[in-house]
Amino acid sequence: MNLKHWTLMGLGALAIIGCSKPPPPAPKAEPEPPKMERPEPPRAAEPPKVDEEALRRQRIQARIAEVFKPIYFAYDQSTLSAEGQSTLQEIGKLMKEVPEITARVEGHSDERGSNDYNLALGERRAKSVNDYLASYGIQATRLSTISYGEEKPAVEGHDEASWSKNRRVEFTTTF
Amino acid sequence: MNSSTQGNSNMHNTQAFRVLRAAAAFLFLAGPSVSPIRGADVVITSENKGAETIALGFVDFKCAKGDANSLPFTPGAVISWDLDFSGRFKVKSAAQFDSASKGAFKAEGALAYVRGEYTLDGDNFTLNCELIDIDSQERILGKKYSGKKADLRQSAHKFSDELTYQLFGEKGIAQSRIAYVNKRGGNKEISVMDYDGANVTEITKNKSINLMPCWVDGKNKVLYTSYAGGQPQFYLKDFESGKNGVYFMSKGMNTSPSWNKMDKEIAYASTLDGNTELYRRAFPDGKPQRLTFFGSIETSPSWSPNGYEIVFISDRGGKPMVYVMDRDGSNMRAITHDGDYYGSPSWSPKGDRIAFTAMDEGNNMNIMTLSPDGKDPAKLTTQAGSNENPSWSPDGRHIVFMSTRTGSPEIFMMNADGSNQKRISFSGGNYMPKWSDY
Repeated sequence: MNLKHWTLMGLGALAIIGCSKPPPPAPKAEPEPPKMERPEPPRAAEPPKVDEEALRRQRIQARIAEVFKPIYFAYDQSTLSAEGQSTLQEIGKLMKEVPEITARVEGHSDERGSNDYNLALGERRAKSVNDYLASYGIQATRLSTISYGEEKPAVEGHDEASWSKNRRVEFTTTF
Repeated sequence: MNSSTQGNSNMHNTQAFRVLRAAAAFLFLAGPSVSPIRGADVVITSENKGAETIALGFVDFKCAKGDANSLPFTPGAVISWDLDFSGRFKVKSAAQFDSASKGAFKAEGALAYVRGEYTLDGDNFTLNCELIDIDSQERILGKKYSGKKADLRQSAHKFSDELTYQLFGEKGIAQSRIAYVNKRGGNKEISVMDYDGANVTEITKNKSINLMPCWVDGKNKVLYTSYAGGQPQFYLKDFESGKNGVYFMSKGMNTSPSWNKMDKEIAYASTLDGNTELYRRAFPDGKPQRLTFFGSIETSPSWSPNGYEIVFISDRGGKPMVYVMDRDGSNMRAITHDGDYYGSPSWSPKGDRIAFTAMDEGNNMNIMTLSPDGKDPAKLTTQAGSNENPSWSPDGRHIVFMSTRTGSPEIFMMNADGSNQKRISFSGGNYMPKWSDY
């Protein structure tokens, strides 16, 4: 596993729907044909409407990929840093904007210490993120938590550089 | 088990047996604190701290019929490994019994020697094992086993346990097994092997994360935490029925099971009520009873052998420390007070020691033991790498653990005082070992 791992996890939904296609097209070119065909209302109006929905979805998926970044923690801590909090505010904002988004909050730890304790620590980190989003106004039904402890490192390595990337919460979103 | 024992011809009244038995009984009763005594007929050596031994000669087992090379082992080597590993015997080996080996055996102080032969015939085997008086050539103990070839190794272990029982009056551990986690194809699966590393059997193949195996109901079942259904929940492998599936589901995650064989119940960590707390539950069916209410992390429970107390890890004081409480959650007290980080406590089946891990300055874990009142600490591992997840042999004489000292996590064993550290897995990515009952 390498650095790409968290990206894959975090982009869950996008990886399936979006990644096989090129990056979301710039929104200028597409809307024009519908405008041209305006004069004839019933039949011709149908396909462009579908495209608009697809475009909206693509736009939101791009935003999800951008906003749902991992939250990192200090050793044996579950307290949110200022940076973590501002990431979570962005996430909260997007979730409020797009009520269909749900998120699974996944807590992880680095390899140091015991597996049992690290599972509980990952759970505590996930809960701390979950509680922050809840206090931001996201309904509990749109959030779930899980811990993987030290069992799913983002980076394989036995130094602080690797550990700091493994002490994290990642998100798997559905939209 | 298909193998059978026949022709049991114990000759308990021989002089050599009485002497050996007396020597063993003396060791058993006297324990390590009494200094070794040498008499005319009784030989006690003290190779490792607290592990006095009886010297035995050992003559290679002969294959009397069939192709010895069709087996990946010889029964004699299996028995010899068992006796040596037990720490109870000092084994002096020879290819045959003649005047030279007789002299060598006696020079080690041996009064008797083990010999045997086996036959292989298609799928079947016979195994004949004997303990012989060196001087009189009388047979002190004789055992015959027969059955399917797949059980030959197990029969060899049976003889090792028979020797231990006859000479020490205590059960041997040669038929015990180890459950552990094995990284397979990027997943974490449960496997089981004999205590000497042979007979590896894959218990899960669900391509998920499976952790924390725990023997339940003797050697009949293994309980473990699996992510196969998404959330970490308990699964149960039943070796008798062959069934393997969800044991019970509850809200949150269920991890870190520990078996109380006195009362047939488990203690475990769960987020049933939100935070990671400790619970106990009758096996197989019962209501979870919550034991901790501190809001801190409470995990890694391990029962005392009498079922009265539980040792566990709590970070209620800010750092993960070792605590002991009564089985109902009352009378909690910390038994470690300094240090930064402790984990994975495991209560010895003898009741006198608790093994656990302590983090050193290099961020590695090392295995220590402590008496249950928090006194008399002993550090058992000092090797490079991390040494984690200690689990006791059913007789309390050995500890199995994971070590990264060779690079990848592997399963190791040692005596309860840290001596004779031995690697028993070699495939890479093996950890979280749990030793079965006898």
